[in-house]
Amino acid sequence: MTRAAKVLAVLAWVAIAGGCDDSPAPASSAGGGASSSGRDDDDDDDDGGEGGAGVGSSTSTGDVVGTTTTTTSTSAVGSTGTGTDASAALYAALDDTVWSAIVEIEGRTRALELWFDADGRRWSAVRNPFGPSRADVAGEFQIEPDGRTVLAVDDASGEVHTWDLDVIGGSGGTPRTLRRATDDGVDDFTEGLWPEPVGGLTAELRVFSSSGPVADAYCKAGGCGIDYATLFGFARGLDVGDDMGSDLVAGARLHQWYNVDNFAVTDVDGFDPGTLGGTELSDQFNFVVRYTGWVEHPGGLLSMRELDDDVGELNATDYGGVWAFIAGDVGVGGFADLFLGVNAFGFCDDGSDDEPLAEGDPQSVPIEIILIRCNTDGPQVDVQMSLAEGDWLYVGDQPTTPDTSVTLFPGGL
Amino acid sequence: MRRAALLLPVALATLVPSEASAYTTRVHIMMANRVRDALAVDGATVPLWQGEYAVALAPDDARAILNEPLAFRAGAVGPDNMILPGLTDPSHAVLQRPFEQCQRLYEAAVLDKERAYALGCFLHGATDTVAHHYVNYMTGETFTLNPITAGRQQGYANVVRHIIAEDMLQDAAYAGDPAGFTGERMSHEIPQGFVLRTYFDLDSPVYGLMASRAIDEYNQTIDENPGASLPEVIVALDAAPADHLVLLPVYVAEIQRTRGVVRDWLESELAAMQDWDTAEGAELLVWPGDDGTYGTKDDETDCSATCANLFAKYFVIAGLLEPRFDASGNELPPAWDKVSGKFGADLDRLLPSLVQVTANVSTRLNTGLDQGGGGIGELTPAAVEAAFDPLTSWGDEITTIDTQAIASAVSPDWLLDMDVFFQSFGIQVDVTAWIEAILEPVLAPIRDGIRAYAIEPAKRFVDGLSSDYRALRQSTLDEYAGRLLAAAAPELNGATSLSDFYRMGLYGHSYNISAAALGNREAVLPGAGAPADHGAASFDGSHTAPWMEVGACPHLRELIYPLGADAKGSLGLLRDGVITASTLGDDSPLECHGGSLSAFSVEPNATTCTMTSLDQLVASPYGSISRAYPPETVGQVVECRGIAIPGLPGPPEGGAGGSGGASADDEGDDDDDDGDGDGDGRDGASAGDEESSCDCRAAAGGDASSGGLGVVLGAAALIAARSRRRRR
Repeated sequence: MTRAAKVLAVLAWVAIAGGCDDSPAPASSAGGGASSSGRDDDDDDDDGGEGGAGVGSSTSTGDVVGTTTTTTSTSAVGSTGTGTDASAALYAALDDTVWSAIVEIEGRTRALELWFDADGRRWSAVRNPFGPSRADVAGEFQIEPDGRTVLAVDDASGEVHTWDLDVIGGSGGTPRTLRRATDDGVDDFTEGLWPEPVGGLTAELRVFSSSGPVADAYCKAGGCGIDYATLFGFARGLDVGDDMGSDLVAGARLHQWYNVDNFAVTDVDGFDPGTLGGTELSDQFNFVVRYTGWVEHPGGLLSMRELDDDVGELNATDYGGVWAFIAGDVGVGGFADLFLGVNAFGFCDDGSDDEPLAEGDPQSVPIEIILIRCNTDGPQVDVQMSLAEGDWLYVGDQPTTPDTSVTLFPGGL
Repeated sequence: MRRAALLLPVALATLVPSEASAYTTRVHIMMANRVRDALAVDGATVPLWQGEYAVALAPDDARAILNEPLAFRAGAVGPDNMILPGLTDPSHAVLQRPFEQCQRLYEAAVLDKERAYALGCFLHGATDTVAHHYVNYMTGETFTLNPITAGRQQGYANVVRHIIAEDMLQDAAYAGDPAGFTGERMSHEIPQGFVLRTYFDLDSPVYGLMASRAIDEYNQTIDENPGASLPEVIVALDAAPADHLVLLPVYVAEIQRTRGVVRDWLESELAAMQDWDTAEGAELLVWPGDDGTYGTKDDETDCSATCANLFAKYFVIAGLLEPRFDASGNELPPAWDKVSGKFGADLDRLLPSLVQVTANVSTRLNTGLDQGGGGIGELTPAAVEAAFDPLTSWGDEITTIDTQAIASAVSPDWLLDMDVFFQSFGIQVDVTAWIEAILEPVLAPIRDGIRAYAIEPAKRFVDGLSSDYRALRQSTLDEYAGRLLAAAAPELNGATSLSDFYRMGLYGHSYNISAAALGNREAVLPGAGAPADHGAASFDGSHTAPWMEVGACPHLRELIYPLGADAKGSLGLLRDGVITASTLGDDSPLECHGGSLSAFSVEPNATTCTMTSLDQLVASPYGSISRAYPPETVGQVVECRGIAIPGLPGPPEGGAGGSGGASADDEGDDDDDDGDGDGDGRDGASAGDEESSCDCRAAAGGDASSGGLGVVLGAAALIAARSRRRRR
């Protein structure tokens, strides 16, 4: 594809986007995905971490719930005919709330959200809400007559978690604190959602079998027989039959993938142990990472490149690959739609210029970048971008917004 | 009369809206709905059937039943789902203490839906004790896979006859109230987490009760086969599919433990090879390389190509246990831990998969009759295959491991490094073959044990049962219809009492005992003595009423069984206070063997009715394996404990009075009995507390089945399938 054609394609997209605001995936609106996640913790308002107004009023004294009489009605409790004043107060204090904290889980430092729906008697816990190693459990809970002991039952396993909960503070505009005591210790949760990452991109990592269709599609493809449909489909999670493990994180910075034998998933920014405990995967070869989100483009030219246009070219023990899509091709594009393509097979068409260009007005440009590490030593990969004819910087150093849509990061309840 | 007799089977067959038969679990759900509907009127009480009294429920229980109808219904069929249709001995059979299982469920309940499920379990059992007396009369024997008609060999005929007898009841119930069997009224939801936590957790008191017998046999098998691997124990156990399913938590725990044992073995082998005082160590003469650390690839050895096997063994094991590091210096788990950990996680999916299969089958068998719902006859091989998919998929995935794929996927650098490493010494080593050998003790119990002896037989059982059912259905229906006509009161003018199902004693008594059990679970729970001496020994047996408080106490018996607790009473009708009695002259058999395996004794007594096991019975054909006889048959007196059921009148002043063993005809005869009347109903929470957890010797017994090199080498032994008599 020629440079001119790419420019036209982007201009066409700009015109469409401006006309009907029908942005393709990722789903977040221009300027960032912060409001798109659907992770509101409250049906009544959208005040994010401050929680529902009704709930706040129930503990306006700032005292510990359970030792304070509240006048807030508790329809759930009343409807079932149970509940002491103490338990009713805690039900009311927890209703439609979300709390977040940093906690130790199995020896790793993680973020944790606790969600409560007192009417439905539902609870959930979301570990690392924006990854890595995101995991959630949910179930039903009930508060014992002491108004403090909570029995939270896991739907899937039936496991019964016993917590002592106290709701503290909440006056003077400061968020309330949920103190949870368990046999493992005491954690203080602040009312509100765990904050969304504000920069970087969203990275989806998938490990594939060394002897499966994905490896055959690229790593073992010979004679330019690259099967892009299989490769991209796997990276996009459309066909994960070959999936040997996966993880997801928002806010990952795409910097250099460097050429050392023991490069592992934990070396990929966002999945490293320093990011909320990191991934639980430890694979070192045969994985793809798909980055998605928006480039906050100041307007003018947008260009990308792999620094030396070499991802192991003609080196059978050094295979990598980079493929990028922008605008309407994000999530759906194939080889013919590549904005940037760099493969390791020197004589095979990359699918793009070495430094393709697009041009458009200031806007959030949807972007998708797929990187692969085969069962080889792995090359050095430097994916860079230039905005408005500025310096070439790693994508991770450019202004970007990760995709935090509810599809990828649903709420707890 | 003659014309009606000819028409009746046809009429019955057309009552259900599909050609396939229906299954009895729907009747349990219908009963649960009716009890709940009655409770909903005032939110607190359940009036007795055509009676003047109403049983008052504890507020928490009433709330749970009212708020959680789906779970209450699921509990009402819960024992029939445990573990699979037809494989219900663990939750029903004699000496399994089924009502105490319900009680432990109740005690384990945290949420309302869990409480509702547990209360449903009581309703199921209570209903069964009434229905099975009648059904056993029709079929000739208590539910068993080793019936007398097969000389106590295995056969489905008895089970099929049970199902068909219960089908007839459902047909009659449906005819009387089609709206009671719609999809909406049949829908239910098993709280799967609760089932996992109670029925399939080694630490659960419910599991401890349900599995105690199977675990005893498992441990005994280990004792009889010292040093046997788990697959060998599973084969030697020679248990029925249901028992293997019950033992799955034990097998899973043992396999998980074996993962640790294998790792310990790897470490010990490595240490031995590094010890110059051992034979292998003296040959290899290992010393650390430049890094000064043993167990890394730069270790030096005195030989390589000249001791290729030993050299390969050392570096494969060292490589498996050596910590890995990423490019940033973060430590990654050793290759063995990565492979083993993935396998362990996969293994943990087994029990949830089993519960999902249970849910699938239950949904299939309880489709609304307005939605084309059929019965077990509808379980075609394809339907069985679909229902079992979670289990078969699990088994396929976990046992068809591509070691190369796993090793290279979870730790490909290690595999590559090992290949390159050995090649540098001119040695060709199939590293993946080594991994397979090391994994074998973990894989073999699944491939040769769980899949071969639990999953596949269970699937074949359901399949075979369905097939036999289809073959025997019509002829059995004809037989039953004829017998029911013969037992019908003349004033029914050629109809049977099934034509007015909801006024049958069978229905009314089932309803009443359900209400009583929900009002006070002591009504059906045994006392503190041995379970065979007091209480319902099983949900399956006949003649259970006089063993229970509701039957042993005259003041309760009159209210709960107004037409009598025998088969005749079940077939009688009560219409506006008027009884239309059945003409039935006989009753369910007294199931005691007096020398024959193919017939019951004509002289049941304390000798011929001595409780025994199937194996012992086959060895010496005397005794009973069902306790399907009333207490007086063996000269036993079941004293009325005088419990109070809220809403019902208490025992007469001066003592509880009475004892078990009375039939409808002699109700009241025992009113003057000198029961102690002290109302010493025990606290339900204490039921069976001596077995508050599983017999952990199952795990301890596993020590004999694994350990050290024997685990690795012994597990490769082929398992020869044997065909022997199966326990019921």
